[in-house]
Amino acid sequence: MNRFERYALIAALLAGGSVFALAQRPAAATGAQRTSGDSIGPYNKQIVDPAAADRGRHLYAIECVECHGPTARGSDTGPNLIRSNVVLHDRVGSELGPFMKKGHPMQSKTSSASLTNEQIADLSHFLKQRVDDALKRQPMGDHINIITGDPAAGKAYFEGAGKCVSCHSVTGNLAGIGGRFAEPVDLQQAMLFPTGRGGRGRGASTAPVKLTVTPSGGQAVTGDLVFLDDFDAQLRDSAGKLHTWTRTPNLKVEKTDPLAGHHELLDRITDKNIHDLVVYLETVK
Amino acid sequence: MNRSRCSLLVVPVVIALAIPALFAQAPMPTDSWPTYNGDFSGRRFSPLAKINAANVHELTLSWMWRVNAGEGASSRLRSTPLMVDGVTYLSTEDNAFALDARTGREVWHYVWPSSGGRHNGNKGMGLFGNFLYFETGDCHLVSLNKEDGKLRWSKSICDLDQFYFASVAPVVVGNHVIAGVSGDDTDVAGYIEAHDPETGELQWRFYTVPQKKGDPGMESWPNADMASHGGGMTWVPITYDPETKIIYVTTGNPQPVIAYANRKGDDLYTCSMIAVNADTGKMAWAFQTSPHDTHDWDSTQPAVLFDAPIDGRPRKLVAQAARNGHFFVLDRITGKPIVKTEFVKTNWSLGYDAKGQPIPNPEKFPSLAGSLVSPNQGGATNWYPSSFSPLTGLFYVNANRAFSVYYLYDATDNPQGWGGNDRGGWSESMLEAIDYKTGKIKWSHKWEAGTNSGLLTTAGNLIFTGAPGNAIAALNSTTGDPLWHARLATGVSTPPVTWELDGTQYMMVGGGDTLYAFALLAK
Repeated sequence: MNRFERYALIAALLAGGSVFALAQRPAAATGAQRTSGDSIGPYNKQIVDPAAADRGRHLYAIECVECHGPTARGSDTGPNLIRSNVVLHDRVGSELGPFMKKGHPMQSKTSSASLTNEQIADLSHFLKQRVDDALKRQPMGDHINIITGDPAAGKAYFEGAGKCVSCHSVTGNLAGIGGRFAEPVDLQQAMLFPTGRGGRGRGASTAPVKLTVTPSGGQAVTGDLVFLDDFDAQLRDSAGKLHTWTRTPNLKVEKTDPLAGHHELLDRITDKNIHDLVVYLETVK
Repeated sequence: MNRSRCSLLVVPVVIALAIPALFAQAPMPTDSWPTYNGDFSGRRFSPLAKINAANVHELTLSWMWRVNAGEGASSRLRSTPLMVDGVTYLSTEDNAFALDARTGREVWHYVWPSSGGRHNGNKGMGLFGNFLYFETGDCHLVSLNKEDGKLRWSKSICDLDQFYFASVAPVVVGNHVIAGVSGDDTDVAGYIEAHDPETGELQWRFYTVPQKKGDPGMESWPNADMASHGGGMTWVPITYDPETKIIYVTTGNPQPVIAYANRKGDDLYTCSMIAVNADTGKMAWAFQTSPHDTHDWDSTQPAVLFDAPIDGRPRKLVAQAARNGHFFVLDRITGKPIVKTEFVKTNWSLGYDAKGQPIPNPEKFPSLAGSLVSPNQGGATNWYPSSFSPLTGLFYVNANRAFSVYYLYDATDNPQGWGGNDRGGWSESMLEAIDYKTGKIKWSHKWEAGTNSGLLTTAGNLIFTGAPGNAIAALNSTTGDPLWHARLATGVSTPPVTWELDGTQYMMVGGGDTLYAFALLAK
């Protein structure tokens, strides 16, 4: 980081921002309580108070950022604080307070022992917030910019090698597709994985998977797949009637997936094709 | 429950199949299941054949039992239940149970007073004489009396504030309780520990990533700070060769998990199979199955030990079907590869290097605009155990061919924790039978839906596996033909086990909060 970048970051910190787009967390009490499911850390984990963290950010920018860096991940002159056991074991100043009282260099050249308990608590909340940002469920991926492709190349792929036009049209079932999703990444997800849950929005409507079952010496029955495994087959016919068979070697079962073309595309499509297609489809308003 | 309607699918098989003499490895016991894998080898192959391909369609439910865990605790079963002297022992998060193996009636129930951690699936218990051992989400190794479930001692094995937790089934080898640690939320180092079975005192700790200058593997990291925080968790129970006293440890992914700008290099010994001396905790050799992983593909799948011929010569082998889609067979004395191949088609590697390790394709590293990668983060397989049958010479694994898009969120030069993730996906699942001599797929049984189940093979020419539709199923281990199934209340979540009691062979499996014992009960 050069001097200009460092000062720009300090200015950003003082303005209440951060180098990352941070989701605001609700204020919550600190204390021992049983949390269910897959929550991480001890029950007496410090829950970040966003107002205190904001005050702590201000103090950090004035006294600490030069050495420990804008995200508290260290620099050439100071260690990484989010990996520090003083910070990780701290509860609202329980470790940080005694550490600072012993004396620690600060940017203002004043004594760190002069920091009040409230200032220590604010710093603690700011640092705990930085730790949380590195966790698996960090909010950094909420808004990512994936618009990098070439729309003309995307259009060419859509109409050519991608064979998209065999089922789709930007004036038909994909009319206005560029405006139907929360973000471009959702369009990208829906395009690659139309059966997935990754895309917030509406793609082209798709027909259900069809099943045709033919008993030995009997009539074929076709309908929407309800259930199929090694042992049983189940479909609902066009009249809404449910049919169930136990599978035997003489029972013929044929499955037709209207999205088979999408699944096969995963083996052929390149990342460049994907990025180009997304940018092209984003232009279809 | 007797699903004789499936008998039409039964392929007549002569059960006089014998295990070839060159597979001369001690078999697991038949009257007990005393350790996570049934024995130390990780083969999950039982010599029992009373239940076999000819009569498995007559398998009947003997009893079922529902977990009633302590207040607020999960009742989900992930652990492999043990069985010794007519009593089965199993753990869920912070809870341990003893059940009468003949009836499923509860003998005792122990609740650990938890102080937190993460609870994503306790894998089970270890056993040494009259003592039991299990790990808790709040980083403790706990020992109980086998007879009454009373607490003997507990030892802290990791730091909750560093976001470690503990979930592995301890394995007792010689005079050592081997415990592993879990956690991938922040950048911390993986290790295994050996504790005294009597007192719980720490005997040694082996770090899977270098901790200081001069430690082996340091050259594969940019600096000591990154190395010593480099991950490599020990999420699954170890396997062990009693002859050489070597433990086989498989290790997790490097940290940060997805973003990689500050950890250029191979990141040793993450995503590796490591041979460690059980008495000293010193490394004998290591083989990295995923150098410089950027996709959360830990290699914490079991290292399966078997003695089998290669080119007509008996060899001591270790095999793994890794989460990254590659299958390896190594000489387990030297760590040198004999077979390396994909067991599902993947799109992330560029062949193998001189050491036989896959070369990652930088074009498939996570990117800002997204990289379409196969397998997905769940992997070509995961923690659920594979199996090797000396009867067929085949290695079995429930496999996934899956795609997702990997995004980089943190493009700075010093990411921490995750810094990215994958999203979405499409997958297909299959049970694969792999020829250990060549790595070729002998047969592949396609599932109609995702199947993430551990496996059990037996001398009855059977594979037991979870199957779609909440089923527990038996397949012919030679041909892959489905022979039997029963539908449970929820999908299989613990690997099936088998043992014999009073002359009756049982097969036990857990799904959700319920444990089921099946047997041939019709006389």
